[in-house]
Amino acid sequence: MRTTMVNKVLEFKKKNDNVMFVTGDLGYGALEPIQDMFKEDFINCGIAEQNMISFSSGLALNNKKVFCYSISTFPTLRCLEQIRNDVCYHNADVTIINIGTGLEYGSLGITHHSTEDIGCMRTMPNMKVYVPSCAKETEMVLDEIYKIGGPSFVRLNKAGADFNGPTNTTINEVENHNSNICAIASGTILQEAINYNKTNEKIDIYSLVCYFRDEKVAEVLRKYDYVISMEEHQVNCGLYSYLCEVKNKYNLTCKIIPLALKGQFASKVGKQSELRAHYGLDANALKTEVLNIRKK
Amino acid sequence: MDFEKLKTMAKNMKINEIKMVCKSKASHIGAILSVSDILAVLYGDVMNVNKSNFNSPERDIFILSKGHAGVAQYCALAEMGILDKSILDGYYTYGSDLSGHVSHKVPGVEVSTGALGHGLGLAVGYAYAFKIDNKPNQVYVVLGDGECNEGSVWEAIMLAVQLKLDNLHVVIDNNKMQALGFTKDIIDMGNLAEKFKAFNCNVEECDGHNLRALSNVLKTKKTGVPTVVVAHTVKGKGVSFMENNILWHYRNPSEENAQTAIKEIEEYYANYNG
Repeated sequence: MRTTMVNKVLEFKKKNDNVMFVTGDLGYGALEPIQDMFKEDFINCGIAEQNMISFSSGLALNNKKVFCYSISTFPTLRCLEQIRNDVCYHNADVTIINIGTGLEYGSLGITHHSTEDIGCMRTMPNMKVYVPSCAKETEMVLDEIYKIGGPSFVRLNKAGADFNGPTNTTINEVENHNSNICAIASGTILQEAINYNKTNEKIDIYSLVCYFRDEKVAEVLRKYDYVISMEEHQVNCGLYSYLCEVKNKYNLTCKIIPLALKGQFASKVGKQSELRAHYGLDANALKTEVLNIRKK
Repeated sequence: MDFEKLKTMAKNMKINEIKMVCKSKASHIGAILSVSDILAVLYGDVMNVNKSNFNSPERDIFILSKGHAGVAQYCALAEMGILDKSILDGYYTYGSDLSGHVSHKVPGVEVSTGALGHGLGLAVGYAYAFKIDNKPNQVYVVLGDGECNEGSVWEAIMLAVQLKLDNLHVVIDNNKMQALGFTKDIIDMGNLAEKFKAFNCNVEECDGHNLRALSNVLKTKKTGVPTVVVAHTVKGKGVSFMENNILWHYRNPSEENAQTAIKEIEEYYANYNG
């Protein structure tokens, strides 16, 4: 997904000289092609995220199209007020590219777990939140952002899920088995749902990409008795909350069950896959929920 | 510079500011009076911003980072003819765009501020965009000295120096007071001019109420580095009972206070030759 992002940004720069790229001193081994091509339009702001966001807004308000890059919680929580006041209130054309989200930096510890970011970004007026699951969705999301402009937030992981068939940037059907149960995953945790289906009685699977086209999401929810939401995020304000809001808005009847962090820090040390298992976010946790539903 | 014009502008601004803050029962009159002479000189004499170009790409950019003094910017814009004076009546009231902290919904205001420590980073972004596009526009940003407690100010100035932004002009309204008292008793930042010099800025100092000195200093620049003007000011300047009194960071003037204050401002500028 990161390589896809880099290639897309290079493509945008060829089309539009006003495209600029800002990093908070991160991206070693990944951003060099951008740095080489962008020259003075690539700016490393140093380890100073508050200023990175204000600076990016200033550029954008002066006719630039800004992609602002960092990892983990740094481009969201560290500079939340700058995002709110400087980017969102001014409707500045700034896209925050966030790599290493969710539990991707598992063993590095909780300071590097970005598990509240969707919630924070979703509550910002004007902010468009995108959580692609795979390289193709990343491409489509960036194309959309290039076209309609920021403020936008794109939550990525280095490697995407094994899904090649997205058709849109809202919600994609990944597998359809005519089940009355579906898993809706947001981000690369989609892989856990795909893995579940490989060895178990199959359910339908979706990838939810953006958090602001409610009607399309409602169309999916309407089809199911049970929806299991899957996210590497706190249960509050992320995917589960969003689906509940949509359900309520459209008076739908499906039961929504969350697989998410339940208001806890993932303080156990482990790789992303191990933490997903430990905190009940993986294929096994999905299996347990499906079995519980089928017992009813 | 047209000294008499600037003097009249500063006086009119302060009188309107006192009236507006009194009528609306708003706060921050001390900080507003502290920064007004700086804004009068910037708008009236230094910046390329006027009634006919304030929406055009040729204009200079001004950011009031100490957004709580927003009334001073509204009044400067009114004096410049950019803002209709009748709009000032809506300040702080239901349905108006003139919020207490400065708002970009108001014609002539580039950005909204109010949370401190945002304006300089925004200004650095504007200035760099002008720089790489080889445009002559200058960027001016006014901060409070108390605002310099914010770490983001120093994040921004480091980048401005790194990017060699000689089109960036930072003015510190150095009134030596902040929300709960004198800065030396809260966070004593020592000599701010020396601090900005240590960050490799071109630093100038002047009396922030001396219109001639401001006019000279605010026009200075040095190739390859941002300029920081530390303007030494007095909170509540020109009104005897407000000067250096933290109460007027909060208290709104009564009708009687306002009348006395306006009289003192008129006398101050009648006798002013600085």
